[in-house]
Amino acid sequence: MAKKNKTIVINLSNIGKRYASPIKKQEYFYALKNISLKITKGDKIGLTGDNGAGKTTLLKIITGITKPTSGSVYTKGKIVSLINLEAGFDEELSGRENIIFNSMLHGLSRSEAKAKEKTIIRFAGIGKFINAPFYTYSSGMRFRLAFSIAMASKPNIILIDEIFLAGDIKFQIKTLKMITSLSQRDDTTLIISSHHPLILRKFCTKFVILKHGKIIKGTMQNILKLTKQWNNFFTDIPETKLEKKLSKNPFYQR
Amino acid sequence: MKHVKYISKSFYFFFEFLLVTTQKQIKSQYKRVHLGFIWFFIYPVIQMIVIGFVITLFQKNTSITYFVSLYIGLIIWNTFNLTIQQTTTNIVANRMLIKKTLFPVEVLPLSICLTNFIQICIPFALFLIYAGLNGSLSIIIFLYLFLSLFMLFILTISVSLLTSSLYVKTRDVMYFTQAFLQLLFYATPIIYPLHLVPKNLLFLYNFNPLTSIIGLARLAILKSDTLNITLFISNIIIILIFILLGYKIFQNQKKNFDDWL
Repeated sequence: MAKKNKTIVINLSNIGKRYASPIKKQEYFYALKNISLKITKGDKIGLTGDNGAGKTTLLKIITGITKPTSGSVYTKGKIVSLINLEAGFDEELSGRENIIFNSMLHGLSRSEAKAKEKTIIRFAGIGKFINAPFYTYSSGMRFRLAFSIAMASKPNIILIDEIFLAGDIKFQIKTLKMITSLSQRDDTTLIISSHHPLILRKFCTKFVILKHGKIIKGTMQNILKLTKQWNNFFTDIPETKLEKKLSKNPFYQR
Repeated sequence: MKHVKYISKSFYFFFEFLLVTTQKQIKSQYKRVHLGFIWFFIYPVIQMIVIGFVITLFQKNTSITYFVSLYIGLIIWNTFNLTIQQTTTNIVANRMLIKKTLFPVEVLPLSICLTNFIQICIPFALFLIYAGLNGSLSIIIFLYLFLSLFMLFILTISVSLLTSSLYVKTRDVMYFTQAFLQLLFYATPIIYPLHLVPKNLLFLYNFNPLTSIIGLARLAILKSDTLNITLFISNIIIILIFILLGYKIFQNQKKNFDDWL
């Protein structure tokens, strides 16, 4: 069993990605430089780094959306990327009418998508709105439906890019619970790209930090440092006068 | 054997995905449009009346056959024109989808071609039903119409693949396409019959496949034209060149869509 889990499902070797400069003609910039990474079945990888460090480009290369300028990519298994969940939705059509097309974008066949329609609608929990045009949906509702569709495709490898802060608190917790259950499954490989150190620590067991398109060393210390910074930022919020007054009220607890 | 199974599964998925995308396209196109498909009939009728009226100012003895002939030409032209205009900007318009999801991108222009093709099939299908009830339907009529629509479908797909992929890299393509379509409208025998074209200019129509496409449809419905074999063969060759060009260029360009979008 342990041997099975060591199957390499993603192998990136010396990946480089060069883009033409959007500012100056004939100039290029490297989004990724010499990235080599072996990810085995069931790994839970946390990917972090500053804005523009190359996280999304790396996820897009793994998915196959973009080709690397140099190096080679090997992947094994069904990949679902939760990079921008709302991209395939038609605003004029209802949520229900959008389900089949979007399920197929995640690799399901038409019949599979039809069979899973009820499950998707139930998990999204948007009630009668499922028959309303998509343009009437709030951003939270859009996320709920899109996430439900993506999860229904039962992928082997899931790539998640900063999607946790959409939807209401109830659905955020539902999403986090779903990801928790995925993170506990040995057969599912998870790569989460996030700036949030607590989310990375909650779901991931291995971490990759990117800086200027390169993987940097001392990853765990960096994650702990980020966690400390994050916690400190919230714990030193002073209690306001109004809050002190309200805290006497049994219904108000900060 | 495993390889063959994988390829056939991929093909099946591709066509299934194309059909679902087309279905979505049709639904979306006619959402909140009360007259639905009927617009597809009305628009060329309005064009036919306007153009026909202008023509009667110069050509006094215009017959009903001319109006029918004009209507056939306009339906075919509108399908070609509309499809090319819609598909040229289609890849760029779906930037978000292409940059964030992996799927067969060809489906985007192809679904528009298929949507418009389904629409043009309706008036011709109605004509076939009418001819069937009238007792005038023959294999030849069916064959001519089928050939005309098939050639139109293939030509539209080829040009769409070409313009939509080139537009990603250079936006001049849209202006060029618009200017070219304007020119092509007058360079196609839509408002005039082919026999009125001066003999020294006739060779130019060998390079315009719409000539045979419209000619075959008129031949099927009006039986008023004759099939010029040389023109037909050269038009077929032009379509074949477009298929090769469209497919090759699209395949070549699509690797870079994510970088250029």
